[in-house]
Amino acid sequence: MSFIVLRDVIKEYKTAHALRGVSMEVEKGQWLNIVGPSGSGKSTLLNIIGGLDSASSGEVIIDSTNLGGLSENDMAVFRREKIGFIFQQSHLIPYLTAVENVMLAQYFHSMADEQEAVDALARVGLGHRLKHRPSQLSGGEQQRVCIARALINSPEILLADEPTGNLDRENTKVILELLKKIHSEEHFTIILVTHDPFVSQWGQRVLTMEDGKIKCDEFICYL
Amino acid sequence: MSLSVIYEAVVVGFKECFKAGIVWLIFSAYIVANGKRISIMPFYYGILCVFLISAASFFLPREFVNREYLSNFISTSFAVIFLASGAALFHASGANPEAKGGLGGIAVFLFTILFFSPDAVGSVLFLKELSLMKEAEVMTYVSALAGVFLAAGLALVIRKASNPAWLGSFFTLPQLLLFLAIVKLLSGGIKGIAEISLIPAVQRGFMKFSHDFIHQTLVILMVPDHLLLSTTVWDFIGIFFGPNLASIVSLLALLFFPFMFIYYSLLKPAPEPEAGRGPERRKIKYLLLSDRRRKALPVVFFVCIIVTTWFMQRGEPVTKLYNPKPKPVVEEQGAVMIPLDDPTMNLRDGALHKFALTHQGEEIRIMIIRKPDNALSVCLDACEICPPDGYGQSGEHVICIYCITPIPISALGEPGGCNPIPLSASVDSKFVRIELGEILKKWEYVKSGKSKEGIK
Amino acid sequence: MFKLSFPQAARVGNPSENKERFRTDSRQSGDKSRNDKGVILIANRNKSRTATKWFLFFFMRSISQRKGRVVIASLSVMLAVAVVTAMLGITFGIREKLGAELKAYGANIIVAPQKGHYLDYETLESISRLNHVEEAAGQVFGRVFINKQGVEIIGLEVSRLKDRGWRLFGNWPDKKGEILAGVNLKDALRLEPGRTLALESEGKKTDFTVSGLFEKGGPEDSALIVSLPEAWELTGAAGRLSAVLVRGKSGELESVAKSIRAAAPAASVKTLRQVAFAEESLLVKIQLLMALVTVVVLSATVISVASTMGANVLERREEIGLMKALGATRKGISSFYSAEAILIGLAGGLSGFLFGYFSAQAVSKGAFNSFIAAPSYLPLFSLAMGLAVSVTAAYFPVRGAMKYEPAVILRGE
Repeated sequence: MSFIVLRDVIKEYKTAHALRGVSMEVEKGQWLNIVGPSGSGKSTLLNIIGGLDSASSGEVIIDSTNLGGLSENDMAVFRREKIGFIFQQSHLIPYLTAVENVMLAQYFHSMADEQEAVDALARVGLGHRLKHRPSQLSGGEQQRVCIARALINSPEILLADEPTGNLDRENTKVILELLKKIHSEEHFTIILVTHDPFVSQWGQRVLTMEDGKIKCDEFICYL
Repeated sequence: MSLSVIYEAVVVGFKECFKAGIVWLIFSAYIVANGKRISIMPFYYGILCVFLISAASFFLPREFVNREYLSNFISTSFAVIFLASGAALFHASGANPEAKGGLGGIAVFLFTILFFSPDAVGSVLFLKELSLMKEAEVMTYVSALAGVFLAAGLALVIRKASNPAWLGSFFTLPQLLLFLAIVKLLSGGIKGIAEISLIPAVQRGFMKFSHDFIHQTLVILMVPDHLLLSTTVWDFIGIFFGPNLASIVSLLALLFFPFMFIYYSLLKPAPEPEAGRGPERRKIKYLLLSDRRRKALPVVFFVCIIVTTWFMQRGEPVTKLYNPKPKPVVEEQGAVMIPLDDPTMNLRDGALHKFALTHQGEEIRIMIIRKPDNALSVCLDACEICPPDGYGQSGEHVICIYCITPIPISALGEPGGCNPIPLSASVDSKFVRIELGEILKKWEYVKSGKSKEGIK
Repeated sequence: MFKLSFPQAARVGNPSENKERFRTDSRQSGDKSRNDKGVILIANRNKSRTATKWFLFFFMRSISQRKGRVVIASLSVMLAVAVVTAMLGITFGIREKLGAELKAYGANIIVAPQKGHYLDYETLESISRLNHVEEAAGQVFGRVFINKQGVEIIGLEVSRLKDRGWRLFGNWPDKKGEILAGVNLKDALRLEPGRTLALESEGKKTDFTVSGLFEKGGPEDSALIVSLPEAWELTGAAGRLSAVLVRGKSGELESVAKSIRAAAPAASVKTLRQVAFAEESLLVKIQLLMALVTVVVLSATVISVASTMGANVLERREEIGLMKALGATRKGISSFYSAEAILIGLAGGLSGFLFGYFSAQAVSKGAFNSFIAAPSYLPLFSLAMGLAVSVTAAYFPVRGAMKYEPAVILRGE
């Protein structure tokens, strides 16, 4: 069985359908980009895989665990053990420094370890900006802190929702290069949602969504 | 009349059975959490044995059972278990965070019998007396049985509602022993709920030890009996064996190992796992730390209980004591005769009675009180250590007014320490007769203590 | 069930298996980071922090952002606790005054003669010989003149007053001719310890030395206290007593009172409870009123703290959503807010106790001209009340906040 398996996943909101029957499989270590116009359900799909949202019907099986059967507490444990998130907004805690923001993720996983957090920031090239607050960091730097935070607990899946949506081309490239470098070292699974064709070239597979359904699924060359 | 019998019988039955139930609950949880390396069967056999022993004691004639001995046994068993838990905590507070507990089946069996049988026998005897006294045999036993079933039912309900694996995760062997000691402490008595005689005993022992030590040292150094000098010296040294310091020191001595364990569990850094990279290593460390903290919780809890009972024991305010005005008595033909059939007083009413004899201008006070075994205890109203301020009564204890040391009435008649100095007296059907020579001889102890130590 | 993917070594229930994989923390964690100076500094400073310390660290960081709100919430808790503490203190103070006449002498039964009669000293002796009587003391009331000015005197055994909570300025009398004076006489007679007073009665003058002034918070504060023989000398009625105060064994009071009635049939015998009972019914009404005020004040505070807390969690929705995404459980997130509520409760409770206690003392000094002896559990009670108010107030907003859907918040639309 594949690492991530979705079978006929439907998500209904009160007024509209976000997902109308999505089935897909993702292998371990794969870099998958999901593209599509806004409102096509790609973010919803990502949140369902990450356990932030639940499917109305259908099965979501990750690493042989059916997410539908998990209690709220188990879901939290699942997220902290298996998933790392990066969002379009950095969602860094404004009153914590860069290294403390990374340590917060460690704290909720198990316990904080400052040395490890410092190492992680050095790895994303922020070894010199440990003690800066998010407001003192540029947009690209903030997203790099987010990458360090998302990867600090060695998740098996990295979920990125428009990680470069607020960045210029220069910074976008820096972030993607960084992701690619770490991905090639650690072989976690990446699922990245974007509407930017430039971003969607990075990766091994592109899934195009439209109106809550998968329209096209193609493997591409790992750039 | 019948209501009080029912109440007392139900309470006694409930208490004994609930004690067993709660020990069973924790013990089985402990077994579950420790991977079922020991069987619970010896515990059941032990309980069965306790049942048989108490049934046997029921049919024994009264003279065969020494209640004094039994009540000593109960408080001693608390001390033994508490010290054992202290030793185990000491073991666990070293570098090795998890003391390995090997409990043999036979040990569990014997331990169960030792733990429960004194109290159970005591309770059975109490029930027997109750039924004879109130002439309501059937009612007493039925009520006691009702109490037993009530407690058993309650224990089963708690067992159903609780999660043994969760409950057991708080306990390793030292915590288990400490738990048993606390169960003993809070429910060890035969009738009352709390028999906390160990605590004053430790305190008294410490005071006596430090007092005797300093006394002997001074005698060896041959400190001159200069009144001013000895008074100041004793005022100063008195701090060392005064009631407050003695109480605190003995409390600290009792709590040393638990404190050490808590310190280790809460404040020592976590051991560093060698294996695993970042998050995995952190997680192992976290689980170890949280398990260590979890195991410290019951110890903290029990320390709180010990400290509370301690202060409840020693904070007995002197003003609440029953301290009757001594009745004057006179010496007749070399003896003091105190009538038993005086219509204005009943020496056997359980209250403290005091008498004052005036001899060569000095007032010598004598106290008489009925002990639980119905004998009359005749003592001087003074002890060897403290200034002769005398004793007051508070419930089951007489309490030294000077140093607030409680002494169980059942223990009166023993010499030494802060016990009232016992007088040998003869009791016939009409009089308590105390020889004047005996009184003066014992009074010399008090006086010598006074003059040597210069305490006013 | 989703299995927690604990590494094999972490099965803590069975520690002997993985013992060899651990060693105690002898290696310094600072070793690893020689390459970067700033890194070494940080690593060394924090290496000994444990999980609890990290919790406190993040907690302090989080409330340092909202000091103002915490202070305001603490203040409102403080005001509520202060009001309730002050009212409780005053109620206790009034209750203390009930039967204080007897308590101040350590007695629980009062034996008084019929109007216009006296008790004999023999009566006192026969009472003190009764069963369960711990102590019996006689009192003589009389009147003397100082410079033609009438002053009440009370004759009693002065040694029995020690350790009864009387406030003494000066010394207890220990010689014949030394007396105590009530504090209210101080200004009227320009008294101070050591001054000599000439008391005039029955046409003759006797000199006495005031060894000390006392304050009890009752009518005695306007009287002189002399020893029994001196009182008899002054009143010229040797061997007569105006009242006998008895301390019986508690629990046996009724039987003691009964036997006193038998021993002194002409006297009226009242137990402490009977004396206090008459004053009790008024107190009940006062207490009802105070209970009502307490309920109103506490509920108003709960509402105001709850709204502060509600604004707080609403403001921090994003943070809560993020914590959820990081894998925090409800318990993990709400522990920060519970800690905040506990902090507010403790701060408000403690300061409220101090504030309320001193206001109660001030009120009592003004109203009864004496200070209150508050029960020893009052500080604990105030603290518990502060905690209860703030924790109750935080409960609902925090529970509501735990229900936020992180997916919606984090999208940030």
